[in-house]
Amino acid sequence: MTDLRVESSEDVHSPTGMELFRVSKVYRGGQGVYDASLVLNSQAIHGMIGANGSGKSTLLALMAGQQFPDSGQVLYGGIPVHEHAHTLSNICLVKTHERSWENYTLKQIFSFAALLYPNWDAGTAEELMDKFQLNAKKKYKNLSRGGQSMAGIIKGLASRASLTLLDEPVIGLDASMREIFYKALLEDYSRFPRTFVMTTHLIDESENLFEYITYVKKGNVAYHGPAEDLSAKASYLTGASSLLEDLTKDQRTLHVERLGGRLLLALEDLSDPSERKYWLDKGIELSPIPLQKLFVYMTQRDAANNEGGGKR
Amino acid sequence: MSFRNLMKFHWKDYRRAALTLFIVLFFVDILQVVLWRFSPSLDTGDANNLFGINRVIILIFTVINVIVTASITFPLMIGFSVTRRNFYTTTLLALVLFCISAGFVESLLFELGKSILPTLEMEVSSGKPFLTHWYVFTVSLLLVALITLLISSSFVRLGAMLGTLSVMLYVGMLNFFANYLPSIDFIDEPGMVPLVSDTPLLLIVIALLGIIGWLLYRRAPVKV
Repeated sequence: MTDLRVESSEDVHSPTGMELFRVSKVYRGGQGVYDASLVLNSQAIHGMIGANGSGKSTLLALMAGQQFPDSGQVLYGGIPVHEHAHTLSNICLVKTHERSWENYTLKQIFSFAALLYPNWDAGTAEELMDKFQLNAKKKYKNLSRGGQSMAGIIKGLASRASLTLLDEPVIGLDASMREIFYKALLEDYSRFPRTFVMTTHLIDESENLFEYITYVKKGNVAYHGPAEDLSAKASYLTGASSLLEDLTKDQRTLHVERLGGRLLLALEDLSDPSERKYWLDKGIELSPIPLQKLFVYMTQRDAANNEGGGKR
Repeated sequence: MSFRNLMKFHWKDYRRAALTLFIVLFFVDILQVVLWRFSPSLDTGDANNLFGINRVIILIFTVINVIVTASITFPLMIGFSVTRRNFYTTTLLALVLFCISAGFVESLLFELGKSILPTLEMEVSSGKPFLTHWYVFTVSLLLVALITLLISSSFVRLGAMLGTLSVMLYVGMLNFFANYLPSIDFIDEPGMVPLVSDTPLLLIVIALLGIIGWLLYRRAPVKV
């Protein structure tokens, strides 16, 4: 795993993109974000993954200036985001649920957005309303869970904000609507390249969108880098138990499955070529771990390490 | 986003409720006059009651409207990437404009009443001149609006316990001021400070409430 605090410390004050520098925001009960640093490359689609309660939504709220950090700095384009009108108008946060929208119709909500986002694209909003088959006269609270997600997606895409933060935008969407969203996101991104950050638990179907992945673990950024690098180091090893038994106690082992006399191991890091050759020579099969599976294993490992009531 | 667009936002957010208020006022006044004229046995009081009811309706509407501002408009605007400063300044301005408009409508109804009701054998006390009436009612309304904004913001920002404490503080403050200014008890004329001479002090109180309100909103988070 790459330690981002080390990796990003040199260019944390670069004048472009979103930068978080040693940011903490702790809620009562201990949840939140701890000393997190992160630099997001501009004009890219970033995926943010992490277990429930790991601090993803808090990170997005800090980036959007909706929460104030207890310590640390949040900069966009080198300027602190909090209370900076021009900077904030270029940032759009789409939450999983907008409680303040409940008593408004979609027409009203988008007319507000048209006034408050300088680059609002009414054409895109209308087009997406048609694609998602939404009725503009319906109140937000009367929409299904999926409909509410669609309304949020429309706000995110039509805002044309140079940094758009989507917090679990596909919650409640059926498979076909999710496809429409992924397609619309890519089309819009190719026409108007900008920065998207999207949290999701459906990694399998969205991993192809992401150029970069941020893995949030217990309120901190455990990994940030190219999406392919996260899973490239990891590997499945399948072979005779007698050969692999010792590896089950290795710190890198995320998952163990016994299949009769055979073992399937998931190793977090098997990037050393000589080690790979060693196992291949012994007749062990090596295969890549899909990102979704890797995420599940890492989350389970973190949860297991957390058992015993240790604080963050 | 421009100041103009922020004010347009408030106008879009307010206009339906404000229009509803003015329509309600109009129909309530007509109903009262009709009842007074054709069903005197119902005893709707004298003609001055009619204006007292108008003011109470406007006050209730203002209180509800301000509670909505604190609990809904704040997260709504911040959710559309508006800064807290822009939210607060434009909200205060919209509130002042609303109070001026509501004061104007109420004063206009009072003037109309003064000229129409005597023809229906309903006597109306002469009251204050139009502009004075408008000014005094606007100040009274602003005071109520700002106090409500402060209390509802306290509930939203500080939670139920500190919010309740702030209500107690408000009641204490009212008692304190009432000792020095018995006229602001709002009893002689419902919903309106009777003495013009009291208004400068009230304007100072309104300004202080506005400053305290900003301290509450300055770093207010929006729930994740």
